[in-house]
Amino acid sequence: MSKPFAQSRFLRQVILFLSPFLFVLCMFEILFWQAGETWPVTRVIEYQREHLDALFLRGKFDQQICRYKYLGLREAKPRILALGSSRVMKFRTEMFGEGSGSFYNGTGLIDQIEDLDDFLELFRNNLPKVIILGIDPWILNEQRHSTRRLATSLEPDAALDWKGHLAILRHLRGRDLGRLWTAAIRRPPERIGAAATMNNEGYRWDGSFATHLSIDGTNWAFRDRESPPVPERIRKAKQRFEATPHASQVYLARLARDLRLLKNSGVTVIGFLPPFSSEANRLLSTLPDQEQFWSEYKAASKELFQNLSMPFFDATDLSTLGLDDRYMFDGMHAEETFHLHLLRRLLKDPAVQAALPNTSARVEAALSDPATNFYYPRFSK
Amino acid sequence: MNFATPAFLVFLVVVYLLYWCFGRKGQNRLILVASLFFYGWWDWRFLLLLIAIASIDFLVALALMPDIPVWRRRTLLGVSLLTNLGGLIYFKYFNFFSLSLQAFLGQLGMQADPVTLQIILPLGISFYTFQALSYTIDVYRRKLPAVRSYTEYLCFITFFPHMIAGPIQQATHLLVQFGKDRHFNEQESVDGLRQMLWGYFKKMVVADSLAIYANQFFNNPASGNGWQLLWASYCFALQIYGDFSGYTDIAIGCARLFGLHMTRNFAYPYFSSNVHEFWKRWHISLSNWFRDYVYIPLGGNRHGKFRQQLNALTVFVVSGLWHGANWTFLLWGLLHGIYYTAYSNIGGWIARLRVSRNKWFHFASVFVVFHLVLVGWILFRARDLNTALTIVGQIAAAPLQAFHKPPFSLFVLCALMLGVEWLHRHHRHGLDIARWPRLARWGAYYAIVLIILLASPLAYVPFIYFQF
Repeated sequence: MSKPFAQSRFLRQVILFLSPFLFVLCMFEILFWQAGETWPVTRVIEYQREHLDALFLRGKFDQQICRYKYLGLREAKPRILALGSSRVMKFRTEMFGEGSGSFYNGTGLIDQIEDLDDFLELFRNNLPKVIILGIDPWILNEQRHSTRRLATSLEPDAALDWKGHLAILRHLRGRDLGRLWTAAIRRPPERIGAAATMNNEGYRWDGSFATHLSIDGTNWAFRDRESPPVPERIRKAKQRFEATPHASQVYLARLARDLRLLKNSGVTVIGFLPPFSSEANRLLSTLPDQEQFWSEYKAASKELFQNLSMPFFDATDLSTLGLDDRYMFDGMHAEETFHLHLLRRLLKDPAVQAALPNTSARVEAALSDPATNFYYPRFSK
Repeated sequence: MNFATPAFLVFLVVVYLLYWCFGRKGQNRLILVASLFFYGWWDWRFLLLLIAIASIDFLVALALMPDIPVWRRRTLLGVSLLTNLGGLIYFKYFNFFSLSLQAFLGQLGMQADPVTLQIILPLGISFYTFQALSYTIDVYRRKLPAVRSYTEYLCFITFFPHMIAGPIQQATHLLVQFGKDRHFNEQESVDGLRQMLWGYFKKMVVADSLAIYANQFFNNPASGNGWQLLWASYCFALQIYGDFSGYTDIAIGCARLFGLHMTRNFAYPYFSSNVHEFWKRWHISLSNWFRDYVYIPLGGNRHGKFRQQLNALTVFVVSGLWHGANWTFLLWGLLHGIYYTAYSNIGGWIARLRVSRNKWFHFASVFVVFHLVLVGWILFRARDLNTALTIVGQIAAAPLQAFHKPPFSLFVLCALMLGVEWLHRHHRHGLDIARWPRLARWGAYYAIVLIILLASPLAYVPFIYFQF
């Protein structure tokens, strides 16, 4: 047998053997790409900059919230920044009455005290002028151990990690496949990712999170959409509500150090404690393994901000703002309209007014608009 | 570039397709460029050291003309030894010796501030320095003429399948192949792919699955009781075999795709019935290297039984230290040296026993040898000596503790690997199934690929021997 013939036969056999795998792999990769699932974060940010109405939310692949927000924030270089966990993610550009690019919602970056340290390290030379900082109870809880940390969650991009692709392929079941297929076929240009397409929600270009629930104005009632519901998590002392006797003095000291560092860098920090539903609030302040920590968390946070002469408001109880559970998306996430009320309350402090000079008019206009409901305000152009 | 990544597979396909378009010289140049790219993928700075060491050896060998005075030949060999071993000692052992000296002086009541360096160990340095040394020593011994082609020589040192973790090739075997024309051989290529596939299975499925269990308890021995630590030791014994022999199968299979033959590194070592046999089957290329360049120069078996055993013991201790700058490796080597010399004394007596020809005696011997090796693996894997002793102590107390059943899937994977290898123990590699009907062959290939895709753990587990 001649050498070239043997070679080509060998290659043909190898290709023939691999073709079923390559075919299946290619089909899935096309599906993932079409659904926007495997768009690298850098591409998503670039796309959103050009399409301001585009929402980003992957369905099967890792959201990589840290990488997405980190790169988005680096790109945006905003004057005002919202920081905290997912409970702060409803602040959005329209609320502040300033030009686009002046605000960025970096929530999701800070989920534990180490994340704040990492944030200061990463953005030491690029800090915004104003930071609205939501302090969650678990930030001061030593019994809670987060599985991720900001500094180590920035690389690599899940979309470019072959092991991530393989993991998704292994766990694709019939229903997921159907959703993915539908997302790939139906995805409009203003949605990136299967969850953004199918659930009509996701991150906006400014880092804020958009939901689009239809609201029935007459019979609007609160429903806890978290799974498991927040009260159940509190009762079982799990998933961010681990029982601990006291607010950590070590973490408080670290928080104080970080706040002082921000203050010395000329940043105005506006602190607040994000809200819980009334049932969650009641459990946190009455359950024996939670109440002590809960009261210490509230008192120590307030004292810390007061000592540093920083604006602060405790919004854990909605009634302090004259609101009720209907403003809550679930047991621990408030919707956009709540945040307007919070801003209105914060703006009573002259320091906040000075830091956010155009916000008051925007807030009042939106809150007085008849189209504003419990969840979504209407912002005039 | 790691063998177990898609990037390597793409690299291999590109290099392979280009390779067979060229004649010998073009093939050598391509292999050299590809190998440097492969190595530089990790850290291009290491390339400078690699090329510097290789170049010095090349020039030394060229200067080792047969007709020059003996003192000059010895001086030149000294330069090569100094370069290779000096580099190895500096990068691998400096901190170890410095800290050990401080501890020793501390025992004598003397204070000393140790000088330690922030050194990153260049990948594969233990392997390529030994390979380079084999070349200059062979030229010095006149077993091989100095090669004139720098490209061929660099190909021999840097050939990407074996550069990071062997098998260590002697110049008399591999270097000469770069000087000859290579012709495409379909059977060799197909069998090379089979060998690679089996290597991937052993590494990505078996070794990486076992690593999860072994790491859990070896990294934190306090978290497990005696039974768990015993199982973790079994897991590590099979992990290191799957990992290293898997790597070797990929490397050898890969070389076969390029028409190059590399010497065998593993011959089903866990089926050995005595310690001598084990060392003829485990990391064969390193054993051969130590035999040819340490044991025989020390006198080998030419000066009586006592000297022979002392030489064997020395070789094992040095071999232990070769693995890493840690007392655990040194003691691992010493332990095997003791096993080896002990068997030298009782092996003849055992062979004369009538029962030694019984097959059940054979299986019992395999069982005993495996467990002797297992004790060594505890030393090898433990972070330090204290940890190793703690683990051994815990295992000794195992019968007094609660029994925890390890995951069933681990049994299945190990049984699959060992079962297939037992059936093919007289073959070159575990997937030598050329004689099977085509349908059965392809069925086996598809089954293995599917197992790799669906059952391999996705956590990154580096090849164990990369650290050496």
